[in-house]
Formats: sequence, C-alpha cells, structure tokens
Amino acid sequence: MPEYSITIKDHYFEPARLEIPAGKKIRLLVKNLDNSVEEFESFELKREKIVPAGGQIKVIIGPLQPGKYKFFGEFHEATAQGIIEVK
Amino acid sequence: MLQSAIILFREMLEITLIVSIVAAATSTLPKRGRYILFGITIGIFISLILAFFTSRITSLAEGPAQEFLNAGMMAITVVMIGYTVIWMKNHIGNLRSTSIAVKEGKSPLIAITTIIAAAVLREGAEIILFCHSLMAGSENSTATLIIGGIVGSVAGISAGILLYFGLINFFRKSIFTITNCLLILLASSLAAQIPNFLASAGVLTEFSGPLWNSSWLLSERSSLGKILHMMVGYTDQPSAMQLIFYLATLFIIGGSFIAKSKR
Repeated sequence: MPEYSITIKDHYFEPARLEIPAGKKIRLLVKNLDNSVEEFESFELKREKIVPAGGQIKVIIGPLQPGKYKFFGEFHEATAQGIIEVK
Repeated sequence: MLQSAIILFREMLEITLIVSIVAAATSTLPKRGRYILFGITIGIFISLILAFFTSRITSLAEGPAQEFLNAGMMAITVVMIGYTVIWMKNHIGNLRSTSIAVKEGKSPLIAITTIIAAAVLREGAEIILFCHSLMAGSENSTATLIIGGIVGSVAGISAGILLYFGLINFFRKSIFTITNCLLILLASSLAAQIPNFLASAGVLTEFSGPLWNSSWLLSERSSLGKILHMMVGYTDQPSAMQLIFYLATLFIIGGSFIAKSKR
C-alpha cells in the first residue's frame, strides 16, 4: 500500500496540500512534532484520530474518486488546515 | 478562548445528549439515576487511564487501537440501546411488573450504565487530552483558553440538562414514544459511524464515493448540521456502508419496537 506522510509543526500541516491517486487505498502517516495533542479530522474523508504530542498515527484512506478533500486539526482549527487532492 | 469554548461545548454536548435522552427514556425506572451516575463515574475513570496511555505510549496511538476502541464502544452502545428500548416497551404501562422485574434483577439498569460509560469514554479521553494540552501550553493565552474551556463545558452540560427537562415537561403524554424514537435514531447514527472507523483501521473497504452530496442544503459543519449529526445521524456525504449500517440498525431496533407495540 502506498504511504504518504504529513507532519504537524507549530499547528500547521506540512505539506498542507497532498496529491494521491484515485481509486487506490493509501496509508496516511501523520506525525505530530508539536508538544501539544492534535486531532486529525476530515468530514469529507470521514476520518478522526487523536495524534499525541510527539507521536504519529496511521490512517487508511480510499479508494477515493477524483476531487478535493479537506482535512484539519480539530484542536487548532484556525491554522491546522490542509487538503488532499485525488487525481 | 472561543476555540476552546467551542471544542469543549461540542464534546460535552455529545455526552450530555446521550445521558439526557437515556435519562428521559428511563424516567419510570426505579434507581436509574444511581446507575447513570455509576456509568458517568466509570466512564471518567477509564477515560483518565486511556488518556494517560495515549499520551505516554505513543505506539498505542499509532496502531489501529483508537479505531477499534471507537467502533467497539459504538457497537456495544447500539446493542445496549436496542436492549433497553425493547425492555422498556415490554414493561411500560405496567409499573408493578416493572418493579418486580427490577427487584429480580431483570432490568436494563446495567445496559444503561454501559451506554453512559461508553458515551463518556468516547469523548472523555479526548477532552482530558485537550485540557491537558491547554494547561501545558506556555503561551500567555493559557488562562483565557482555560476560561473558555470552562464556559464551553458548562454550556454543553446545561444544554443537556435543558434537553432533559424539555423532554420530560413538554412531551409528558408522549414521552415514552418520543424518547424511544430518539434512542433508536441515536443508535442508528452511532452504527453509521462504525464503518468509518473500520475503514480507517484498514479492515473494511468503503465502496467508492459518497451516495449523495447534500452539503449545499445543509452542511455537516454548520451548527444545525452538527446537532442533527449527533442526534439522528445526518451526514451530508454518506457512503453506501454508512447507509447500510444506519438502515440495518433502524429496521432491527425500530422494527422490534413497533412489532411489540401492536401486541
């Protein structure tokens, strides 16, 4: 399964925009470099998972149809925003 | 401050909605208050343990444990709500048989404790971790964030209490039917979230794409959308799996409820 990785730093996602292939299951790795807990959440992807301070989580996503899927950090929504583009 | 108030309001509301509806639906059951408090206590206790392990043992958070825990809690809640609804239906209207059954230990009191404990547990660990990160923050805004959190919590708990008294006062005559319908919808909405967690853990594949998109009409992110999501399971872009889980629960519990009432 292809793996993609995102990091959280200073309550921002890096990269904030990720491109993944359509119709395929992928594994998303979310690493939290901050010293505060975050919750990775997405209404479009229907995912929510707590990412402990300094920890990382794995989330299985897809298969998805082409389109844009927003995600955010629930505990720092003002800055922690990102988008997954499925092509 | 506003952010922490909103988060705690929402998390608290998710717990208090369930507690209020269960409390209103079982208001004729003797000693049910004690069992609800017991459920809250167990829920808080396990949440504290869970929050501790989630923050300390990062490998625990990395695996699919979170998803399995959420899916498991939801599945148990769905079964326990089903049991409670059908039990209440069979014993209501006959208070004598209710108290005899309760005396003999044949009552949904343990099911009520389980529903409440699971509700507290699902949001509890998240609340504790969030509050902990607020207090650990070195920013100057920490105090205002904590005040915001307290305001949000109090508002969330008040909303639940309001719902409870609203239900038992305004629908006195049809309280039984209304609260049980709310319980059935609540169970269905929880069941609809199970496939999301299983897919996130990689043990279930969702059929590609949502069945429809009604976000133009009512977004799940709006306040009304969120409340309807919690209470009746409104989803603006549901997957086929979600609809199957939702309808299966609705038909099984709802069907048993209607079938029994014809007797």
